[in-house]
Amino acid sequence: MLPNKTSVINTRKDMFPDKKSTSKQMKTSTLTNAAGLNSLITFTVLLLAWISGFASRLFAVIRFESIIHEFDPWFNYRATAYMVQHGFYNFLNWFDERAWYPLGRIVGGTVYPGLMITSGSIHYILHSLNIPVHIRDICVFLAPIFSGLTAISTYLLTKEIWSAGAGLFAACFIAIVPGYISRSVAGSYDNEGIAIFALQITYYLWVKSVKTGSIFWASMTALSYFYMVSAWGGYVFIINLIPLHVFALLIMNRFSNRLFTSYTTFYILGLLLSMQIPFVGFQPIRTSEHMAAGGVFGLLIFVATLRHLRTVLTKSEMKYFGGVVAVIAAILLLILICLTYAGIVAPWSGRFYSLWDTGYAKIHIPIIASVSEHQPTTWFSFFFDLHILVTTFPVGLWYCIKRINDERVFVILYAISAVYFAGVMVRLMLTLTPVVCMLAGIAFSDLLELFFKEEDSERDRSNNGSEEESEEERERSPGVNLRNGVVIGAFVLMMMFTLHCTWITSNAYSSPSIVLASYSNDGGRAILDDFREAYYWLAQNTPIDARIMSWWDYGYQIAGMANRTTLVDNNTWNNSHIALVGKAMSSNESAAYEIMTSLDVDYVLVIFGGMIGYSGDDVNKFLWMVRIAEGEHPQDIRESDYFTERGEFRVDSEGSPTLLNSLMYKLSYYRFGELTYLEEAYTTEHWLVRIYRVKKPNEFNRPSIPISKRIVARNANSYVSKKTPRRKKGYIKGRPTIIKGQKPQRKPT
Amino acid sequence: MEYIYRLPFLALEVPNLKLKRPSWFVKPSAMVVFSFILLSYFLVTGGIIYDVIVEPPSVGSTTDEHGHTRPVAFMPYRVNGQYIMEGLASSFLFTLGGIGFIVLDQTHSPSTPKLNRILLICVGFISVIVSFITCWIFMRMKLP
Amino acid sequence: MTALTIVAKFWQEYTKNTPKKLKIIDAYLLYVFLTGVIEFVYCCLVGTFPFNSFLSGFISSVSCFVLGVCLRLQVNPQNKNQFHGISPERGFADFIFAHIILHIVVMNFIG
Repeated sequence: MLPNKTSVINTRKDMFPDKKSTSKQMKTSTLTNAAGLNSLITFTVLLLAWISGFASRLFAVIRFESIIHEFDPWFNYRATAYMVQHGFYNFLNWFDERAWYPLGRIVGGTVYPGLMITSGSIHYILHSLNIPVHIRDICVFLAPIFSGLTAISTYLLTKEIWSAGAGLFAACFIAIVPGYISRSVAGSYDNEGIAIFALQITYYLWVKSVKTGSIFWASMTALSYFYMVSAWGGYVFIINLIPLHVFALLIMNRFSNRLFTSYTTFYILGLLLSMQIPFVGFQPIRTSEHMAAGGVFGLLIFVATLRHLRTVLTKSEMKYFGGVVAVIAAILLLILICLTYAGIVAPWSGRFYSLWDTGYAKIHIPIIASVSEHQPTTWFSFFFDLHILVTTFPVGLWYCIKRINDERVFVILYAISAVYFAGVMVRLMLTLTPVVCMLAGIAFSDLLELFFKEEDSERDRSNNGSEEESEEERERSPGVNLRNGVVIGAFVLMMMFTLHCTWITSNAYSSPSIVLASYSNDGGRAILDDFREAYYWLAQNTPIDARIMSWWDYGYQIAGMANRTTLVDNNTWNNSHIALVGKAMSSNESAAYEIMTSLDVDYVLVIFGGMIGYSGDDVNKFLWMVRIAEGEHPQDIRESDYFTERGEFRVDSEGSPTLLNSLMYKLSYYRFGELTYLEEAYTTEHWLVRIYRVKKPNEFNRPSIPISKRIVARNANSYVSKKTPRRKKGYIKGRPTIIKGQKPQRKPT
Repeated sequence: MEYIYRLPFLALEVPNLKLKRPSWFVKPSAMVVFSFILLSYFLVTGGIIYDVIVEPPSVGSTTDEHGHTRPVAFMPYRVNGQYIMEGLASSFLFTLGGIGFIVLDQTHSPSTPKLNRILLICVGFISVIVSFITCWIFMRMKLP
Repeated sequence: MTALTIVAKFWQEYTKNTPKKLKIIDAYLLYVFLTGVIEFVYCCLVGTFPFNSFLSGFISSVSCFVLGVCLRLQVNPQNKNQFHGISPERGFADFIFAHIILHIVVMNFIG
């Protein structure tokens, strides 16, 4: 499969010389041919981009199997399966009692349903056509299929902004760029996979509507914006970027009636549509994230009114009215500020606030900072995810700034804001990737166009002006050689880009992370399937209503694969609940036992990588548990206790005693230490997942009562004579018998 | 209704203001805007936000077997970590590559003489290649 | 120079120079505007209890107004050079299209 795939990509790369040469021929050939040829080339390139993008996302499926990856996708898959089974309306009303025990979760109201609806409707259509596909396969292959649609919408957007050639380049780049593949390999069934498509198509329609000023395109923008809102929380990016674009155009004195038409229509329809998603609700008119859009809406109407008045009234009359209007505007602004302070308009939510004040999350919201994809980006990620495109990005920007118009202002703003956000969070690299591809497409297409065109003009000149027409003469001149060199160099660069993309996709982004593979020195491959082993054990060997405590990373997987109740999961909506689990994990065994009994925990699941050297285990995440627990229970948990005196975090015998006594440590290293309140239930083949059963209060061996004392007590109470055999003692009437479970629980000291 | 608005103007005399743009405010030229953006791009791709939040040292150091400390420019094998200098160096290379492309584009302006043109092409091309290869080497150094 | 004279002059010019189509649209706009104002006043007096109903009513009148303004801009012969390829008929069809979307959503939202 691998050579096959690279050959696909290579053919796609070879398309570019074809395209260029044909576009050269196009000028000389007749007009009738040209249009057909053009659309044929466009079609072919887009199709190949789709196929190669789809193919290079299949590494995970080929190496492992058709399986849902990672954490969040498991929830999405579970929700989709629920929706397919029970119908759409039941899905919207679904109260999931299996999650967040004992609170439960209203899934219908706390989820972006776009993803589930998309795959559910694909499933429905295929089944009504009598094509029986399992819903899991649709979920697995949804993201690769949508990557093709993303390529097409990127092509359309770039075509609107620059030219069709640049659009083709951009489409090919986005089909294989690692920054986008990282979120859309087969099996990573997540919101981002379809959201990038929605983002690009919304921007395309927006640019289109600004260009034409038609209500139709603006309504289409609003509709695709609705799809985006239903798909991903990142819709806030759109609803801030488009007003920013309008605002920038106003400042640059580029107001036009087209702008007015498109923005007002888009805003008012988009506002109404976005409120239809239950999870979004009334946020668009209540929170500060959405206020900018409303403000720009007002401002635009205001400006339009002024301009209209200016056409009607004379200048002196204008002044009079202008004063009146200015007073009104000031009053309105004051009211808005007052509302914000009065708390009617909610201020920025923490996640968005952390985008502006970059230190905010680290101090106030450890739960956001604890996710590795919320870390700030290093230079390495930029180069790793974008490769050659990272250098061509400013070039495309330069072209856009040099020949500016309304649409290019948009792409410039998009680029700047996306670069900033990508710098703040690794995961927002995803929003940067499309614009980088577009700008790189512009850069490459312009560069190549330039160098090919110069060749043309030179040939024309030599044909007309001088006698030396022979090809050889022309080849000899250094400039041409150099130019050819540059062109070849550019192709080599793109070739390297393709290789890099394929290599990264296969090595870095195609691991399902619930099935691990390790490579031995001789090239053999061992599959570590411990996660599924453990979840399957849970599904088979525990009662159906068993409650399993684990760190929140594994909540969705336990719910999805083992179908058991979890305490916390990846939907981190309740910080204090997570902090409680963190506290249980990080306090000593007896204190943890109290918390666990109060939460009705039956089993505890920990991930332990010490046996095989898996770095993403719970001991590694342990400091975050401590930090999160400390945020809510500062009197019980202190982060500094978990470091040694020299300020190190070490897990060997020299670690701090608090750490060594913590539940998490003991569970991870059980059989290196002793447990009182839990017993080992199951440990997987490579010790990766360890499940413990929490003993009932009557089960652990009453550790606070020493055996000697118990014997004394019995001696005092019994009237058994030395002669009587011991077995008779049970038959004496009136003697208090010990019935298991009725003794009051004694606290260990 | 209008009389209410007239009320303040009974007491105040409307000053004959002409709102003019302040003289220092000129619409910035395209190149100024671009260089500004390029600078911020340089900083962001260098991971300046990472530097602000995580506060890594500017250059790391290791201790070799003799007990001497040696400075290390690159944080090896850590994909999510960097030193300040390392980030700036690589983002300089990114920018260099970008400028190389721009130089390549500039060559076609008809005013430049032929020799200059060839030179410019060489310079642009070489800077692109150099930045690309160096970045690639940097990446190999960081990868495990 | 008082406000009244300005308004009177404005009215005169308006009646003289505006085509009939635009006048119809203007009447529609005035009607929608008044509806919006009434709704707003009602909400101020009575309260916003079924918040989604109030929102859908108010937003629908705002958006009718906005769409009407857009239509007026597109139909206005003075703006012909700004809207290439949009004839008044096309503009009206777009207007209807947007209204269909709008009213379906409002129907869903009003609850």
